[in-house]
Amino acid sequence: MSDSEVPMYVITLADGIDASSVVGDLEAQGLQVKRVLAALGQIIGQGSEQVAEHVRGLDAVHSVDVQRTYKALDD
Amino acid sequence: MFTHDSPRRTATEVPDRFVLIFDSPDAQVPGIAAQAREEQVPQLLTEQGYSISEYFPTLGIAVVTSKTDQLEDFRQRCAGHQLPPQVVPELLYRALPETGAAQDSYTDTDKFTWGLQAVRADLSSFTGKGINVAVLDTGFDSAHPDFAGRTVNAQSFIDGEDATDTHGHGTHCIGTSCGPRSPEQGPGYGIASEANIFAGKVLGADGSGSDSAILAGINWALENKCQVISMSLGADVQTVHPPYVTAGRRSLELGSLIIAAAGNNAQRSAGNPGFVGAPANSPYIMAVAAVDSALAVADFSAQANANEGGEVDIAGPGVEVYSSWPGSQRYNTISGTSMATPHVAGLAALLAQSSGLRAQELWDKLVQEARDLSLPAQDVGAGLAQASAGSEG
Repeated sequence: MSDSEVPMYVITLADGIDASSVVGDLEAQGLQVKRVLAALGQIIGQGSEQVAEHVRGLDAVHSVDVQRTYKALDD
Repeated sequence: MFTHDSPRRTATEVPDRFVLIFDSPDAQVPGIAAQAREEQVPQLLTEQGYSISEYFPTLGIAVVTSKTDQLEDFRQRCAGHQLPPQVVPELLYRALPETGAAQDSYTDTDKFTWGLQAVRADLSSFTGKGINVAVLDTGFDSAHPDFAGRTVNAQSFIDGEDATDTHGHGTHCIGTSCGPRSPEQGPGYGIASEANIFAGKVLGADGSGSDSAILAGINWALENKCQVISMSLGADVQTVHPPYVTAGRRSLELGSLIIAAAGNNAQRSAGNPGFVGAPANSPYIMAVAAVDSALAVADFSAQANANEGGEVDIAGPGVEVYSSWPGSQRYNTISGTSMATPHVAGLAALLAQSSGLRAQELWDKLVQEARDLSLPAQDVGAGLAQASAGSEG
């Protein structure tokens, strides 16, 4: 599987969790962390579906969602 | 300490006049006791040499004439009595000029686009000055002559692309929300013409982008204390995408209002009303529908969907909208809920300036002041967004 085919996820952390403090835990599960969004309490990361399942099991994680694509809305 | 950093500072302030609020702005914290409002506060005011003729004990609010140093001394005395007041400058408001009955249709003139007229931005002397507006889109043409001298912060969240807009959509949306009302050529097309512009490139040159870039753009806007975040983008999915529930809620908590396009997936002329897509279907993101110059729902404008947050909240001008465009073309006229959204974002900036309101309160006020179009709420929400009722000067 090429890198571009590996799913990208939005990891939303539980309220009050400092995003930078859980990066190590996510990486330990095999997630390749791409972006840390401190103000939102979210992390963008890449990994297999199995990795995503492991990340979902962490107490600090509220949700893990596969990244979507959007487009400009001119008609 | 007393500070001039109040969000109201950019409105018309009455010299040496201040409003003192002896209460907590936090609704979770009980207000001060009635005895303190009725006895201690007026005594403190009198001891400081302030008149109590404009003290309202039921509200715990006083309006005083004072020099800043005297006010700071008073604030410290009050703090010593566990009654620290919130201090804001007194503002001067007046009604917009009476223009008679609202029109039912509009056309571009030499002075203003039809959209600016329909939302009454042409009558408002508020300009969004001091308000940070983020437009998360395809970037911005920072060399556009209509924006010379403006404060523009641009950043790209698209790998391999800088913040330059090679698509056009972003420059058009920034033009509507924050462009000039009196450009050197052509009609005025921008609403918040003195707002600080934050152009976040979250859609690439092909007009598409992913959660990664969009959420990074929102995060950047929050870090830069943008009070208004405009997103003319979407995906045609009915289900709420959880990251935008959190992003919308946290933005409101941090004082920012996200305004997003409802979607263009309708084809009403063929009997298809469409549905509000993501991310506008987040319950914490304001969804904007589009109307045409006759104030009818645009053929493409998506209808509310049944999910919580899938409502249409408000409408803006979104058909044949003239605004800025990159490069030598400079201007373009296009349609979409994308075009309605920056109208509402610009109006939010005017209202944020004039009222000092932020986040959910700003949302509520925008909805409250919308013009009833006598159209179904599932199509246009509260109606057509309008410029702030107050006007300085």
